[in-house]
Parts: sequence; C-alpha cells; structure tokens
Amino acid sequence: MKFWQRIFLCTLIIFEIFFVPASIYLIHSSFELNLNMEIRSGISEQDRFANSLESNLYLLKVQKSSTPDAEGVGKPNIDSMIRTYLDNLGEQDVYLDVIDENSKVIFSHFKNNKITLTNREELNIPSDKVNYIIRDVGEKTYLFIAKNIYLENNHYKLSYVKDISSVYENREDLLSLLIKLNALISAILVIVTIIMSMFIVKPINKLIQSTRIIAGGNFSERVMVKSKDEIGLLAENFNLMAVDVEDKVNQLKKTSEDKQRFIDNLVHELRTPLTSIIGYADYLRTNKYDEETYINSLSFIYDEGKRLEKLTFKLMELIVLRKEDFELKKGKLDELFVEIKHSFIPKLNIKNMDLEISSEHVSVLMDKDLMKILLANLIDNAIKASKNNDKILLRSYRDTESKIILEVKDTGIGIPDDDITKVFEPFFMSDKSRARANGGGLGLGLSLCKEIAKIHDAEIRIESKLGEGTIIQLVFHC
Amino acid sequence: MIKILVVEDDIAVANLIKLNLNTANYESSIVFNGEEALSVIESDRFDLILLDVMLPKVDGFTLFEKIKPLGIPVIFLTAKSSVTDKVYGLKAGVDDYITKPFEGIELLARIENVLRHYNKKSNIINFKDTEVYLQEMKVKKNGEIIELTLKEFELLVFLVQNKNIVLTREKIIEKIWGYDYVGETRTIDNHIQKLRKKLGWKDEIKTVFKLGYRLEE
Repeated sequence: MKFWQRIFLCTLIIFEIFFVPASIYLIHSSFELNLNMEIRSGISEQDRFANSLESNLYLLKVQKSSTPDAEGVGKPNIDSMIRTYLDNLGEQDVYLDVIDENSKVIFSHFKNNKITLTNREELNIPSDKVNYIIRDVGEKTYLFIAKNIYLENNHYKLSYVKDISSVYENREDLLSLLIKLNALISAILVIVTIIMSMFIVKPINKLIQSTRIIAGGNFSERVMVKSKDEIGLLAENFNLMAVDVEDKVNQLKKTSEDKQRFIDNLVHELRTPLTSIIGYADYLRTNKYDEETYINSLSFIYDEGKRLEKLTFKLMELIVLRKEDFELKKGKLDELFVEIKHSFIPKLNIKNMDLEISSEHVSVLMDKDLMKILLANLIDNAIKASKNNDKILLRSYRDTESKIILEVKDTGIGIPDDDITKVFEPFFMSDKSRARANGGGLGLGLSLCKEIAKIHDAEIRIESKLGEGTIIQLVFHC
Repeated sequence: MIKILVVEDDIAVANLIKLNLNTANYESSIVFNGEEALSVIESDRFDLILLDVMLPKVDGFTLFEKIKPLGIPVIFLTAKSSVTDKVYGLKAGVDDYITKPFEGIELLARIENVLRHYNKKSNIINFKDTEVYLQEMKVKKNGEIIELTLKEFELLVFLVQNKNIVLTREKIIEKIWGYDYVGETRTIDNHIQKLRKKLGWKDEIKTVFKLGYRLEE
C-alpha cells in the first residue's frame, strides 16, 4: 500500500469514527426534541379542545335553563353539541375523534381522511391521564393523544391526532445530507492527503532513488535530502553508512588488488626461472651443441634453479611471518649489531667496505632471529647499492621523543622518487636487471622487513636521494 | 638474413632465445630494457621484435605503442598469462603472444608464422635436393613430384622447419595428430619409415635414442 493511501485511510477512519456518530447523535437529539415539542403542543392543543367543549357545555346549559321547558341537558344534546362544535374546527393536519363510554363514535375526522384503525390501545386510558402513541398509517406518521373528558357525568374519550411525518422526514433529510456531506468530505480528504503525502513522501522518494543507485553498486552516490526532520536524520545517517560502505569496499578492492599484484608478480618470478631451466634443458637435449654452449646452459639452469630455491625460502618466511605469533623478549641492540657485523664481514670484504656501528645501550622487545633477518636484509640492500670502498652506518639511538630508532645508512646510488612508495611492495625491484646481475635480488627483502616491523609494533621510514644514498629507520613505538 | 631484436631483461631467458634463434639461422641482438630498445631500433633495421612485457624503465606495452608506426612485426613474450593482458596486447595490434615458460620450437614456429604473414619468408622450403611447397602442399625431389599422404606431408614440413633439432614423439603427436590423439607412437615410426623410403632420406632422418627424430643437413 502506498504511503498516501495509508495516510488517507488513517485520516478517513479517524474522521468517520468521530464525525459520523457525532452527526447522527445531533440529528437524533434534534429529532427527539422536535418530537417532544410536537407531543407537548399536541397535548396542550387537546386540552384546549377539551376546555372548549366544557365551556360549550356550559353555554348549552345556560341556554337550556333560559328556555321554559327546562328538562335539563341530556346525552343526545351533548353529543350533538360536540358534533357541531368539532365539525367547525377542521384544522390542517389535525384530526379529532370522540367516542363515548360504549365505544360509539360521536365524532370523527377519520372517515373523511381514510384513516382506518383497528387496534387502538391508547384508548385504555388510566382515569385522569393522557395517553399518546405514535403510529404509522399508510405512508404517514401520526401522533395519537387520547384523553378522558366528563361532560355532565357522561364519559367521553377525546382523541387528538396530528400528522407528524414532517418530523420524521426532517430526520431522513438530515441523514441523507449527512451521507452526501460525508462523500464530499471524503473526496476533499483524498485530494488533501495526496497533496500532503506528496509533500511528506518527496524526500523519501529521493532517499529511495539514492538507495537504489547505491544498491546498484555506485557507492559514491549520496542522498541529497536537507531537512531537519526525521527523514533528514535518516538521510544523514544513510550517507554516513554509505561513506562507511564505500570505504570498506575500497579497502577490500585495494586488498584484493594487492593480492592480485602479489600473485601476478609471483607468477612472473616463478615463470622466468622456469622458462630458462626448461628452455636450456630442452635446447641441450634436442640440439647439437659445443662445449661453451653446454657449460653456459648448465650454469643458467643451475643459477635459475638456485633462484627458485631462494624464492621458495623467502616466500615461506613471508608466509610464516604473516601467520605466527611471536614471543618478544628484551634484547640489547648493540649486541645484535656486533653479531650481524660479524656475519657480513666476507660480503663487506668483497667490495672493500666498512660497517660502522654506533649504538647507545638500548634494549627493545624483540624476536632476535627476526630482527637478524631484518637487519641482514637492510644491510644486504645497502651493500648492493654501494660502490666499492663505501661505508655503511648502523646505529641506534633515542630521538627527541625518546623513541628508540634503529638506522641503516648508506652512501650508495639511492632510490628514484617515483619508486620510493613502492619499495615495500613484494617483488618490487628498482632496477631489475641490475638486481639480477648483482646476486639475484628477489624484491622480497623489504616486504619481509615490513612484516617483521609490524610484528615488533615498529614503523619503517625510508629517506633517499638519487646518487647520495639511503637512510632506513626502524622506529619502535614501545 | 633475417634480423630479430630481443628485448628481454632476464639475461638467462635472453640468452636462451638467442641460442634458439641461432639454430634456425636468424641473426639476433639482445637489449635488456625499453630505452635501449628504442635507440637500437632507431639506428638499425629489424625484421621482427620479440618484446617482453615486464621491462624496467619503459614497459613492453608502452614501448610497443612507440614502435608500432614503424610496421615491424612484434611478438610479445610474457609471464603474464591473464586474459585481459592478452586481449590488451592483441587489440593493440601485436602479431602474436607467447607466454613463459615456452619451448624453443614453439617460439620458432610462431616467429616463422609471423614472418610468413609479412611475406618475409618464402612459401618454399629447400632441403638439399628437395623442395617443399607449403601453399600448394606438394613436394619435389630433383624436380620430380613425390606423392605423399596428408599426414606424411605435415610430418615432412615439421621436420624441415625444425632441421637439426630433435623432435620428440610427444611433440610430433601434438603437432600432427593433435592433443587428443590416443593412438600409439608406433604410428609415428611408420610414417617416418614411409618418408625415409619415399624421399630416400635414410641417413637424413636420424633416430635419436629414447627421444624421437632429427632431420640432419
């Protein structure tokens, strides 16, 4: 059911509940009032007739007493007096009827007016009361009032009958007016509620439209409803929700893109050595070759096989790092530095380089093995970037905020600005052919370092200038 | 002689491609990145370029857009096997696409195909006193037409196109009979016997123990 229909129905029901019974009650009251008035006026009218009859009787008695043969006023005289008197009193809509105690009709308007009655229970009048009844005769409604009158010890029953159809007709008229009025008001109500609900529903429709667009996948859509009411509030909250959903969706998208890129890169890194291994092996078994080609090909097969092996180990490390919980223990950085320097001496000697250590006595919570991997990767990178006879600086200190900083600084070739944001991505190599030539870099070192830093709740910062060198800092937050 | 430029940043793969190209008597130069490739293309003339997609500095797709106007046939070499990449490459107008890891004879076959398409390779292959007409599907030895069945002809073409290279039985089945062939490898041996007889190539088609056959010049 549409909103305007609901508003209309509710309003209509409320209206009908209050308006119709109230109107009916009013009509009924006014009808009762009119009816009572008719009855009262009927009774007093009848009284008037009764009194007139009595005063006529008095006149008749006076008349009789003045005549010589005063034999007194008898019942026949009274009967005829009643007839002559009442005959002259034919009023519109008023009928009179007199019967004596033997139910003999003395006078009646009824016969002329075709009113025939069989059962007239109102005539059983308790001695001094007035009886009345309302009765439908034919299409009309009549008020019957009966009363006892005593004229010279003669008992009569005087009936006063009045046509009160108009009172009933009046009520019918009012009722039919009520129905018409009701219909008219309902029609007006429809128009009013449609206009009103259109006004109310307009922002809701806007909301619906926007939600539909958002549901269709366009999460950057916003609801443009600016009102201070509940709908405005709903729109506002809805927008907040849409922002949140959009953020989440973008985040998911980014994660899945990262994953896809990782897989693409991994596939590339796996396929390239495989291409060589399979290719050289195939070449050697299907072609005639000389000694040089033979040795070269086998060397390539060996190197690429080694490369695959290394890649597997690195990947394993990365996967393990992402999965496992590590127990961190307090450890001294300067001790670690000395150990790591020792293991790098052969590599440093090849390029005739020096690794200078400058360390404050600071301890951090760490997993020593992981920290070794991290340092080894950073120093390895520094050595690769450096020229012969260069120096690498390895230090640890507290900065102005007394955070512990571990720093590896080289004066090597540096990283181009474009690449600096990408260096932590798996498989990223600033110059791949150089990296390969320089001892088989995989582009996984810094991603590993990033994972290790994450485990230590530390942040990795990188600063580099092309041709001047690179500084990598590990900032501990604890 | 046909000159081929190999743009590949992986030394091992580049060297491998060069070896394979040498066996098919192509002349080849190797460059390791896009920038070098551009400068080499400007100064020298090439009949075909083998281009790796993932290159340092200038990637393969960008490089391709630059060399496209020169009208040199280009085959992409890539580890990216995703369909969108392939579609992108082919839509851009690349002549063919080879995904790593690839095999030597596949590479040579694709190169030959592209070259023939550009009419840089003739439709007649000569081997000693025999001429193989690829389009007319006929074979002449000393000017005389030799009658061959379709499978025999296809096998002969495969052999002469890959002379001096061992063709394993699996490769022959895959190429001549298709992947879904379920027959025995004996069928190949029979066809080889018939070719040897019809062409008198008793010594030319060598049996390589456990592997397959090689056509020797």
